[in-house]
This record gives sequence, C-alpha cells and structure tokens, in this order.
Amino acid sequence: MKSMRLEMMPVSQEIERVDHEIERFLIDEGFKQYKDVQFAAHELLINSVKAMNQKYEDSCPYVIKIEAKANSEIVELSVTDYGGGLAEDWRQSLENVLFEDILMMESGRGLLLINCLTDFFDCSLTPDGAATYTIIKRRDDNGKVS
Amino acid sequence: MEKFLDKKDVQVKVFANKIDHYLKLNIEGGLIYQSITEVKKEITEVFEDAEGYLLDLTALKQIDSTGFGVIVNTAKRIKTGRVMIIIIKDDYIRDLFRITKLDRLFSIVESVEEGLKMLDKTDI
Repeated sequence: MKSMRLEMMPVSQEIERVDHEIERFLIDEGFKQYKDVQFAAHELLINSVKAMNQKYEDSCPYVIKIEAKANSEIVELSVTDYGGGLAEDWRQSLENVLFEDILMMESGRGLLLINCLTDFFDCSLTPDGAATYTIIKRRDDNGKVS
Repeated sequence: MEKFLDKKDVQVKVFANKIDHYLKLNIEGGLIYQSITEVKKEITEVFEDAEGYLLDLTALKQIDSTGFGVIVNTAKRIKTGRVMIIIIKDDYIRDLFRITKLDRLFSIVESVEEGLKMLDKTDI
C-alpha cells in the first residue's frame, strides 16, 4: 500500500497546496475517480480549518494532519484536526437530510457531498481531543452516484 | 494523464456584461472556500437588475460546497418571475449540480446561445 502524509496550518491559504498534493497522489496512483476523492478531501479540509479557527481563533497550537493510502482496491484518506469533531447526531443528519431539503440554503452541502461521493465516511474522536475523518473510495466503482 | 490544476487556474475572476436586456455574470477559476469572500464582494459590485440572468461557468475550474452556496445566494437576489440560466461545459461540475439537485433549481445549458434562447422563451 502506498501512502502519503501531509501537515498544514489551519488557514484557508494552505488548502490549495494540500488539494494539489492530494490530486497528484491520486493521479500518480492511477485512480480514475480521483475527482470524487479530491472533492471530498477538499470539503474535509474546509471543515477542519473552519472548526479549528472557530475553536482557537488566531492562536491554534495544532496542525491538520492528512494521510492518504492507496492499494489496488481502494484509496483511503484521513484528515485529523483538533476542532472538536462533528455534532453528536451527524450520522442521523446524513441519513435524514436530503439535498432537496437544503436547496435554497447557503450551507449544509459539504458533509452530504462527502457522503455521496465516497463509499465510506466516518468520524472518530480520540481521548486527547483529536477528530479523525476518514473516507474510502473503491477503485471498481465507476464514480457515479444515483 | 490529466493536467494538474495550476495556481493560476483557481484564481477567481468575476465580471458581468449586458446582452440586450439580460445580465451575463461570469465566474472563472475557482469558486471555492479560499476565494469566497472576494467572490461575494465582486458579485455585489457587478450585479444589477435585468430581465433575465445567465451565469456563465464555462471557465470555472473548481467548485466546492461554499461555491454552491454563493450561486444559491446570487439567485436569491433575482426578482420573482425572473430566471437565471447556468452555462456549464465541464462534465464533472455538471454532475455535481445533478448530485446536489441544483439542476432542479436552475436550467443548465452548454452555451450562451442556448441560454439566451431559453431566456427569450421565458420572457414575459
């Protein structure tokens, strides 16, 4: 399994650099549906930057860690931050909220899109307060969602 | 295999021009989180009243959830009864509009000509 590890400061200007690194990794791995993973990863990075800025404002002592792994079957990507994780009912919200419900809303599409574009999406918290968001995309998927 | 996105590709550019009594709003580059404050400000500057709107995204290289939010908010500026047609050529961006169901809120076409024809038909 090939892997890549990155770190970024929790500032929006860093997202573009990490976007590019992830894109390069996925393309180098010959991952056809790289755009779905890249899109989902970008959304995770936005969430992490927002959460950490909200929690620590300008004095954040942590970095955001990104790890991507790929083998012949899947690509797995995780983003770890100290922003506090998702709301307790995030899983339920993902199941109950449809894009139609938020059609005229400015926000709320990020997590739904991550869930839609990937085969697996989870968030776990560690005792030290780190939140890790993991997405997995299978290679044999044609990249389309219904 | 694929061209990597260059930094200049995702730099955003917003401008508008009048075509007859319609307003064509162009967003080029990246409609993404990093540029969203700038885009909102620029849309406010160039937006004006018109009988119909074309949102030209043919030179859009990247969009994210915050970009979709800006498009929805732009549509809210439009007076009742007037419509905004979106022009998209990129298959992946078109797919994202389908996934988010925003293709039910906006008519999506592939060219300015097609968009103008559609606006002419909806003219009151």
